[in-house]
Amino acid sequence: MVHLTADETALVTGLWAKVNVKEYGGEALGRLLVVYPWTQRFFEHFGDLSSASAVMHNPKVKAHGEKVLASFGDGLKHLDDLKGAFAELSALHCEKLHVDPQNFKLLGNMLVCVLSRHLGKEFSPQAQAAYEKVVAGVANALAHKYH
Amino acid sequence: MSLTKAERTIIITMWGKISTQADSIGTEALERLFASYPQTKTYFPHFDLHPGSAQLRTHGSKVVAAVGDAVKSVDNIAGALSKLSELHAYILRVDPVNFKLLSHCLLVTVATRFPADFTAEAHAAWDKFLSVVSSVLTEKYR
Repeated sequence: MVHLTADETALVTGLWAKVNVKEYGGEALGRLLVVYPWTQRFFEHFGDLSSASAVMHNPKVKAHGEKVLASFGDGLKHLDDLKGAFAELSALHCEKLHVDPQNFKLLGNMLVCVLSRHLGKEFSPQAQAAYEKVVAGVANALAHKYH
Repeated sequence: MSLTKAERTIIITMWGKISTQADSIGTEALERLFASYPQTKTYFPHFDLHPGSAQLRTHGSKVVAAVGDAVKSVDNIAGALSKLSELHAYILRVDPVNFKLLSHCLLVTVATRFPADFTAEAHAAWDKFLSVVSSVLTEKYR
């Protein structure tokens, strides 16, 4: 469970309203694959990931990034029960996708960087702190059903 | 892990811009660190950590100046930061996990101020560079 103050919740939801899920999702996933190239191990079927430019323009990366961020956005509606909200996805990532939960933390970092790039000063230290709590909560929730 | 020629070029070029706001970037990165990761404050019980404090500003400047030293000697970061490495190993003994946290906050600060320059390629170069700096600072720990 994520413990956000009322101010933090307001910051999170207020800023989320400005997020272009399609654009930012693709960018976050793309940056994950560029900054931490070993994460490409999960996406060998995505085609050309041979350069930063190829990754960032790859249509499969963009589509999947959008999917992932949309799911994250849905999670924001359930901040009081992230484990419940992500239970099925957690089982999927463990049993079918075999993704090391460390990767959820890496993607969380990428999302924070993407938000800061687009929101600039509005992504204040307080806003960042609130989002760091949320991405950590989502990462934990996604790891919760691992066995 | 060492930086490629292309990565070094990105670092040096961007540093030209970053250094014009060095002090405030250092201060802001520390503010972000303490806000997002309150446990990092345990290393500064002797500081006034309120945003805007003189101590925060001085320390932020120091941190970014050290990053600048590493940029200027990007071909020999270990040499440039040797004294700082000893300081961290024998005196400060900051747990290694915290270098990743500060690096992340530095990247976030740079991203908010230089969104166009902070491309995916630049992001990768800077993440790697700060990772090398962190390794140098912890290499004498044991």
